[in-house]
Amino acid sequence: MSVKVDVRLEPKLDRGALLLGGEPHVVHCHYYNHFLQTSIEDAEGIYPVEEVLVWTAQEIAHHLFRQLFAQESVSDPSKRKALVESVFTRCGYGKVSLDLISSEGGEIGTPYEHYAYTYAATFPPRPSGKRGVSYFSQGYLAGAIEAIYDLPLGTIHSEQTACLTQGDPEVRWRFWRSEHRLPLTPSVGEGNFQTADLAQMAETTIPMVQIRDAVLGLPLLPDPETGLIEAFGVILTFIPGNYYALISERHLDHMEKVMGPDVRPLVLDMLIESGHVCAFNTLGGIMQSAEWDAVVRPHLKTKEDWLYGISAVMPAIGWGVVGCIDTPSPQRWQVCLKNWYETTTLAALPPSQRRLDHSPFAQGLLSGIMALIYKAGVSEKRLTFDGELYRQLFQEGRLYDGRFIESRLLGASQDVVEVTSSRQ
Amino acid sequence: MKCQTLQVCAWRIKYLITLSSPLEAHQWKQIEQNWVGSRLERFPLSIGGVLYKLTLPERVGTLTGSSHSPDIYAVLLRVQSKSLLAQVQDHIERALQENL
Repeated sequence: MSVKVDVRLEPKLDRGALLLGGEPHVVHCHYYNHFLQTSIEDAEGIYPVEEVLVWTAQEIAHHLFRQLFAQESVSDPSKRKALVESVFTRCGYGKVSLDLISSEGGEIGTPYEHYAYTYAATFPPRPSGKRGVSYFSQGYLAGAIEAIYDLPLGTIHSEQTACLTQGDPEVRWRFWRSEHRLPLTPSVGEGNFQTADLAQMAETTIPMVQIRDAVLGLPLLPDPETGLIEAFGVILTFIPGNYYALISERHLDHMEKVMGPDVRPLVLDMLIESGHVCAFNTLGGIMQSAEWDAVVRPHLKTKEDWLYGISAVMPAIGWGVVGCIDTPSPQRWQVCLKNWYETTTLAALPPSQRRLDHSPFAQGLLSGIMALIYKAGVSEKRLTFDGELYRQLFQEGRLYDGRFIESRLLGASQDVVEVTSSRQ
Repeated sequence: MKCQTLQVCAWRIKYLITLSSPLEAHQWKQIEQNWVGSRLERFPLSIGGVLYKLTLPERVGTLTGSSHSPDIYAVLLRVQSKSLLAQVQDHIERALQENL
């Protein structure tokens, strides 16, 4: 199917969100995507991780495409397929054709899929006993097929049958319809969102709104042949924020159910570390890019300006609105997070159905940003991110700790995180 | 022309190439014309100025830069990075000289 359909992620400026099909989308890079997925996948001997990594994507895609088809008044299956293919590519997941898909299922194969392509290029081949890495796309396409044929959520089953990471020339999935419905939960959609203006703080001359708007205007677009988005020196995706928040929450839930409460600190530390890694790769990549040089760097004079500058970027990549509560210092940075994407997802779940009471991703991310600016010195010199820098800096642990001193998930009106130096 | 390594993974290497001044539009065009199979994209920025992205042939890498900065970022396939970097520097040099 080569029908060209225009797909647009709609910026919601008063939320710091990017909406498509009633689902907030967030920008992340392949380093973060693999770190988080692999951390969860490592538990495959403990519980069936596909139930988290595949099913969550299926729930979200089912909701997203039902909304999108209704918004666009598209009822013909072939036109719906074209829209799914376009969204898949626009969001940087790769290139797929749904030509061989019917209401009974079928097969989809592609040489270009974000997780498999970037894994195969970056890491050694996976052992033969392991399945492929394209969990997200598998579930996403299953949910999309259900939406195309107006099938109830959970009626399409799926498996990955080939993967670039195992030496196959393409990624391939099989989909089939079953009377046995999977126990899936409808997506929370826009979640329990809140609105907030990106404030121009008195302590800085950094033009927050101007930077946000300039980043929103950057061409974060897929290569037309591969459907992969290359920018800032990394490969980006626009994945629904509900996916990241829910796989984190559900992973913790499964782990605590199987292993007991003692496992909680370990899982939380892994989720914090994923945010920390993200700071160094996604945000570190942004801070050393032509886009940053053109749009943000001209305004930066002090190290603190770098904190304000990167805070202004976050609403443009769908993460929410970040504001500094007081003037940051090398020892302490206190920020309020409005409509932080993970919180917005989790706040839509009944309190009895969630185990996370804050966003560990935010803890790690904000700690990582402080280390990047005040310890690694990204504002003073160009850094070489080669793994060695990360090992050198953090061989004895993270250099900053992030702590939620207010949490929407515990009833507060906003999230407030205090990041402090963990060593004197 | 100064060059520094910024990011290394098993797959690709990101280099920073610093010139004495930003490349001009016609110099970017010149590189595209001289490098057979490359593709130049030009994106106007909301703050004024232009972002340039040159995709190298056969997906071996990209060059990005802007009218605001003398810095150019080259993300190159690691297995060919040495020869590709030499080609990148050569093409930039040629574009600078041809437009003197």
